[in-house]
Amino acid sequence: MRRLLSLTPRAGVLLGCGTPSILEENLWQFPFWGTGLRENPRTMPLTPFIHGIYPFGDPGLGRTPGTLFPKQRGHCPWMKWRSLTQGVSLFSSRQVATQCQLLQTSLGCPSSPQLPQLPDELMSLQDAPGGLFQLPPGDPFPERVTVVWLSVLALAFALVCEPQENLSLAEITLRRLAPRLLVSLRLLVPVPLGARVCFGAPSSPFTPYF
Amino acid sequence: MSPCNDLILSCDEIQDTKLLSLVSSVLLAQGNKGEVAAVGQRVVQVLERRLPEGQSARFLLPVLANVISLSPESLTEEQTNVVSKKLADWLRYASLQQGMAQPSGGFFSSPRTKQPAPITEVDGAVATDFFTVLSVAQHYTQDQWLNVQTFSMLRNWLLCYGGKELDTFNPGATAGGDRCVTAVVPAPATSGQLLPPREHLRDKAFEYCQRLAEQSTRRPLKKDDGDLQKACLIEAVKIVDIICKQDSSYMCRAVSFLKVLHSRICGDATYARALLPIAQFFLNYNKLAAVDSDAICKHLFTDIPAQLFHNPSLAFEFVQFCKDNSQLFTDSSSIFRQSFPNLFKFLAWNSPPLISEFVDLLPFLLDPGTTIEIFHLLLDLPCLTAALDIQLRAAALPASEKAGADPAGKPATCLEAFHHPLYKSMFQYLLRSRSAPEDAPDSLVPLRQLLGSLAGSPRVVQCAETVPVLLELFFRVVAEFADGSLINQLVVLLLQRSDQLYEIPAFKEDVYRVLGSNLAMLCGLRPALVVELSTEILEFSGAVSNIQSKEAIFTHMAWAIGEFLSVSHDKRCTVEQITRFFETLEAVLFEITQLRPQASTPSCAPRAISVLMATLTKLAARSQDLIPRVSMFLSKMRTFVQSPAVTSVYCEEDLEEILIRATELMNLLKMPSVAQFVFTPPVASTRFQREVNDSLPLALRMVTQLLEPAPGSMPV
Repeated sequence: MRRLLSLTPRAGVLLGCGTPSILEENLWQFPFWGTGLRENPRTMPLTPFIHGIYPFGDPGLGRTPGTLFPKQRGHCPWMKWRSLTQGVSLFSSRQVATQCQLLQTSLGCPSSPQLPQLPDELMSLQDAPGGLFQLPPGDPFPERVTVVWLSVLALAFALVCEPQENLSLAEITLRRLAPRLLVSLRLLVPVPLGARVCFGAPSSPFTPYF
Repeated sequence: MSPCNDLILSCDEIQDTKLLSLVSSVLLAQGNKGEVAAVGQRVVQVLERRLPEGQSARFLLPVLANVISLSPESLTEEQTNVVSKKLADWLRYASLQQGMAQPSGGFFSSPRTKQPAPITEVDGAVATDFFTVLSVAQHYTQDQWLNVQTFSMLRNWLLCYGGKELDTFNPGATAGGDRCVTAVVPAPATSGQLLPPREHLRDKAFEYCQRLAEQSTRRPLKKDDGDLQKACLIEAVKIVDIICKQDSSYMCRAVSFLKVLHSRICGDATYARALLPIAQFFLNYNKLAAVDSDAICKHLFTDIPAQLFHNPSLAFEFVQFCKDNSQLFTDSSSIFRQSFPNLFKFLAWNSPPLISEFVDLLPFLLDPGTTIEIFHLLLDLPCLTAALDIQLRAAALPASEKAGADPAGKPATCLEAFHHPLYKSMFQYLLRSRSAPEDAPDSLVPLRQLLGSLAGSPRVVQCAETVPVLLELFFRVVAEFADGSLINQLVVLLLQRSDQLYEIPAFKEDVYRVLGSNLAMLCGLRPALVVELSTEILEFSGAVSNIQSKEAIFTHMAWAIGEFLSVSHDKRCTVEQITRFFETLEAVLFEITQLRPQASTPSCAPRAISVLMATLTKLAARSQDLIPRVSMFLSKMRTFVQSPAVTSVYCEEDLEEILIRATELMNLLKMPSVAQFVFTPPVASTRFQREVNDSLPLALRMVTQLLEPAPGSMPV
């Protein structure tokens, strides 16, 4: 299981995985996603590895992964699924932030601590810095995973894939998703460094599932 | 467990496909095998039937993709055949007309419907063949959505259900563990089809991949479409690979298809990432088909890293490719092994994401033939980064500026030096594509000095940080196979190269630390080298500047001399040799423990002083004529630690430690036979003996207490 989409800025937001149906359904219900996505399957060309987005609470805010999925009595053969959720809870923004900072350093770009104003229109992210790296088994996912990351303004987005995935496609998908996620975030106040922000307003259609 | 039956969620009764997909995602999240099977069954049931008006299957395919990745065995063979047939139809027979926009309604909307326009290719031309993910439209029909979704999940579907093994289905298989659900009997072909469903899907999938390859030759109007073309091509090649694995009758078509594709894209840098799955295909079937993978791999390993090392995604995938095919590196004459200088360019330029990958890869590159060259390469890795930087900048210069500077004079900048006769061959060697130990220039010192101006560049610094990690691993791997001659070679080079490192202070510190500890390790592996390499070791140990600038190496060298210069380790060790070493080290110790240090006297770490004292004592214990000299020296240490010039340089604890050590050693020398035993134990081959060695400080303290039961009886 590798369908994890996480926002990992200097603040941190973790979004987890669901099914593509949730993604599509909620994209339509969110007016600010725009109609372009609804109409055009090519903006989401090969979606097996993006199953969806659901809000994932930071354990520090009182929610733990265990409460997202009801406990099963008896033997649960779904180690892969369960370990994914455990991996999700442990996946820290640190690795992505580190890679992002190292790349920025090597390119000679100073990192700015302030969150700049987010633009209103969807911006093109063709030239946004990004990269690929691997996490070894056990750190934190039970199997080896490849992380595709993209840095936009003061945020970073990461997509966690299985090693044999089509990584070119993962990068394209991330670059296409990121502007829409940025727009939907609409951070109105600067987020303090190190804070974790939950995605999902009270009126969000995500909430009935949790 | 639900408190009430009405709250149990079930997908059995749901007719609306959109609702079904939403409910399914909740059910799949339960982590219950039964629920997944139920969802899988229901989805296939719905897909089997003709859907009512307004309902679309496109909400269900993603659910199905989820089901098969969670639990492929949820579907029966009959169900997979039904779905395979539908998938094949969606792949091949999607509509060639664009979809209609949703009617906007309103007072002035036209009652007449517009004619739908045909789909186009990415270059704007009207499409002449079937619809694929690379076809363009303003709006899409339902079956075009399904076409794209089918392609999305095609690889997984083929991996799960495309195989033809005759093992029986095992209900006890763990979820996700067994990707290939097996077929016992192929389903009977339905009327109108020539092939059974599985084969039919394979056939359409192959056609689809060929179509994608054709579509990728077109020049896209939008850059986004260009990226999509490449990604789809990669996916297509991987699918063709799977198809051939499952049905070898496709091999001929696949080979010619991929050969043509390869020759088309091999000169195009933007398609470089697609070369990897193509090469993988030819490697996979190297033995089967009369397929020659050599030419393709040669191009891949010789040209691509040299030209495209700066592309981080390609670098990452290339290194993964090497790791996935690591068994090919074991043949020392193969292009894989010979190309290691090229591979390190990826690491030199993209250090942070690739260091952990190279930690995995390095052991496969090391063998007795490559050890020395890789040793040099690792120490020069930051130089390689700087040289690559120069190479990139030189390539970007306009032609007019490329003509080299005056060959008679010295180049003013690194860029000028790139083509300058003085430096050209050194650059070329550093930037070589293949292993070439015999071409090594006598020295790269001038080049390192020239590149010193880039030592502060962030990329160079990042690369430098990876070197100690790799060096440590290098020694660990080499220790496993190195014979005596190679160990000796390494030690000599280690001492030589300690003077010839790229001028980055933190880098040099870390490298010295690793070299020092591994020097001790090598001496432990082969103690006789202390005698065999006595010339080089004496030269190194006798240079007082080394104790200051390379303290870590010096200290370990001195320790190794004390440990291993003895007859018990090498019969050729003579009294003269012991004396020679003694005198060399004594002179150094004398120099650094002067009571009135000059400005030129090197300061050094207290640990170095302690180790030198211990080594001299050990040597004296073996050649007892030297005992009086050492004892006298040690007795002067009290004056040394108390002298005002020295107390200002070292802290109190360190001086105290030095004095205690000196006292212990002196006391030990009062009992020469005990000293001999303590300092020259038999070669530690058992754990007990090793523990004796480790407890040397304890032994020293015990002896001291035996000799000085009362406090205050310190030597004068």
